[in-house]
Amino acid sequence: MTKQDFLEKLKTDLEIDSHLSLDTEFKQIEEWDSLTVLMLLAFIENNFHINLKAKDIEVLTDFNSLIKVIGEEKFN
Amino acid sequence: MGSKIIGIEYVFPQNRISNETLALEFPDYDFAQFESKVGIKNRYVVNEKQTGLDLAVQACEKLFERFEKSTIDYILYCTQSPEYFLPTTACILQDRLKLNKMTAAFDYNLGCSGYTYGLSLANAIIKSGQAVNVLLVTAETYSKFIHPKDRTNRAIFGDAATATLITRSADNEIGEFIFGTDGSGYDKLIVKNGAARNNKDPEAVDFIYGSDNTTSDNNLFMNGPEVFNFTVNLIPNLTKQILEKNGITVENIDQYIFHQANAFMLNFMRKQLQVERKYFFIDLLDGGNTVSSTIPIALKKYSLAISNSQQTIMLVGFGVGLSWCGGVIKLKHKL
Repeated sequence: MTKQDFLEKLKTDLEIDSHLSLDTEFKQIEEWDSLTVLMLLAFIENNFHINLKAKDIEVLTDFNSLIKVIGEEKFN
Repeated sequence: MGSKIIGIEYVFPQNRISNETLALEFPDYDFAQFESKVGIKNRYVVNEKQTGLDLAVQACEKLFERFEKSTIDYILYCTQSPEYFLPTTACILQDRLKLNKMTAAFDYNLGCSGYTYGLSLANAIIKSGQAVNVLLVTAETYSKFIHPKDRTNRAIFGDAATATLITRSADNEIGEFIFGTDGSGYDKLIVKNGAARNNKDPEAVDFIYGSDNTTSDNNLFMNGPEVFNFTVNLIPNLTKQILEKNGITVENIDQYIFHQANAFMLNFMRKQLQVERKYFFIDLLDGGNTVSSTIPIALKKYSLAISNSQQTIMLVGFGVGLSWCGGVIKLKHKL
């Protein structure tokens, strides 16, 4: 999937109403909380088969940094 | 010969705790966001002198306004909030309801997987000729275990009891069930002290966990993230197994009724399963997560909302244990 598809799918599956771009910082997202992080982990596991932990997300700031952790090569 | 559910009743205790009430105690927390996300507005809790059995008696009496209680010959009582270590709460229920003394009665200790276990067991008891009318009761008062400063658990869990009547029938409406257990996760949702392993400790220290919640080993502890992970990883494969065991496909399911743990999580699972909103029951706004009572409450509500055409419904319970159980039932009438 493209990075844009990734953001769109995230918005739907995590029910985020605010606009997301690659450099949106997590803390700027109104709906962002511990539950969102759990959904995000499950989302990444389901879509990329990568098993991240909540503490892996804590050190990240925005979607660019998240995509680096997932692996740039997974996106086209 | 098979069995079918002919009636369900449920009761909440009288004390309603709204999000506004909780916000007075936890002014720093955004309960409006909690309501829209987790999907809970009110939960009900017993008062100090009231127990799960008191709620169970009310639920059963409500059921007996419509059905003859003298025909009951088996009681299955699901609880983690028994009256005593011993005797069995189901025995006391038999007496409180003045049921026939030729009634079998026992308790079983399960949480969120308890109702589906109970249905499967009731069906097996009836099919094997051991009983004709099984009274399946779920009754839980987690509020007695929850630390007053444990914001998350106080917001999520509510007390309730339900009574379901399952009877012998030529219609085989209770289908096949799948079970599972992973006891390595026993401490993900636990009340550590007060039973045989650890005595209740009057000096147990409070500790902070999760999103700034307080509990102690005398109280309920839930590792929310781990329970969540367990659930979302379990569900896709489990639903597939349930369909296979019943020899049906997704197209045959008119409604999915899962344990109502948390609206956001249920919605997430719904999307992973690619099920449309209208086929997936989510309603815990009034009552919250009532443990083993969420599925019968949901089933009752759903049955009242449908016309009388035959429905095929998948029921799935999962949680404390860790334990899970799901299956398929048919429904032709309001419960």
